[in-house]
Amino acid sequence: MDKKKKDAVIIILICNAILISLLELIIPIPIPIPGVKLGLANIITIIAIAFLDFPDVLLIVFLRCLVVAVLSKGITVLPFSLTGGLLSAMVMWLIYKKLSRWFSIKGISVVGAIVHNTAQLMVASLILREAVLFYYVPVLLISAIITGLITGSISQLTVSEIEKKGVFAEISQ
Amino acid sequence: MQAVSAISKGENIQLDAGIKTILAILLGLATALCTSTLELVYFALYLVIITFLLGSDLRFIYKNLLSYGVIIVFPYLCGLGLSLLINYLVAAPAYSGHFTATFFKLIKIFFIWYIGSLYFFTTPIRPITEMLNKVLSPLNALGIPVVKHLNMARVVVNELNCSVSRFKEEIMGQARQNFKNEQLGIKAKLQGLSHILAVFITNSLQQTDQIQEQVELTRIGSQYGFRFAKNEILAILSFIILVFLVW
Repeated sequence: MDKKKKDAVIIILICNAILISLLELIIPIPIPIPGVKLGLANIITIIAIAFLDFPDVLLIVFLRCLVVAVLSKGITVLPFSLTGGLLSAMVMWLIYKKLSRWFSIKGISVVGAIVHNTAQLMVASLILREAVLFYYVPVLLISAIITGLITGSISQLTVSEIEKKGVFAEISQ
Repeated sequence: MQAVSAISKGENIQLDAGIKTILAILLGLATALCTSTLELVYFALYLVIITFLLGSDLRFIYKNLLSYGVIIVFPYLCGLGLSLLINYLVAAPAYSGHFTATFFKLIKIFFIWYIGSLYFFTTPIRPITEMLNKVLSPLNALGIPVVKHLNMARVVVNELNCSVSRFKEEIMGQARQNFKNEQLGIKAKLQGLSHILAVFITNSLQQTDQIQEQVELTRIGSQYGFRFAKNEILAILSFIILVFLVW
């Protein structure tokens, strides 16, 4: 794939990640905890991990967090979303490339959600300089497992359907 | 995404993006240096005044309080509650935090949070990217393609502006129908959603040529320069008065 085409694919995937997040408004979450989100944008991160190179995956996560921070919640959310997003993308990429014999996409998504939530809590704890926040980890771990399983199931089905359609192979030609 | 920003309402006082950035950073730093409640009260008043002057409203303050509460305060309170519970149940060492100091810190962090939020809520994307392009362009020489990435971010914003309403109508409509279907189990519903998403992603990836054209057309200008006019001078003066009032 030439560089310009790859940039276009990256832009499209970033747009898709942000748009897909809007679906969270209509999908009921089985965990009634404030702040717990499904993280549907993770579907696009997993698709990028499956079909693109590692630097492209990081660029997608970085630009998505930046654009979402600027457009919605304000730039101050950026340290949280960037740390969580980039760390979880790195871990998911590592597992997908090196340990995929033991992990399905569902499993990778669960690990990604756990890393994402823990990293965000670490940032909050660093900002507040309060270790007491870590008592909240079990709650976040349970929610990460549930949300990770849901997004992982959707990702698994979506990746296999995209694979069947051969979209990325077609673009690469 | 932010429903209606102060910019789109066209009610804000226009300030140069560069001056505004510097003032926002200085205001954030000054907030971090606050040591007494009275200083925080002055800052709170100043923030409320500039919120209205920049075309924002109480709803914006409320929204920020809510997101700050969900992201920072709620986990802190839950952590605190759980630590006290564990301490009560297993007689572990008690939490030795200073509640007043933490409360003070929480307010200061919220003010810094709010300043960042207000800055982006009241500043159009174009001058921000032009200013960042100018400030960060030396990084290009180091091999970090800042300009290219800023350009990509601009195209993403433009594309989102065009496609949000279509996505809401088409894809969200289909997903809503899929989730409303009571004859389907949760597995079938997720399968249905995956199919909708796969089709959506596949279709969107057919548009690489148009996006490449967009990237070519969207070039960030590098002609940014500081603009000093009446509003900028008044903003700087108001900040200086605040600093003198506080210290």
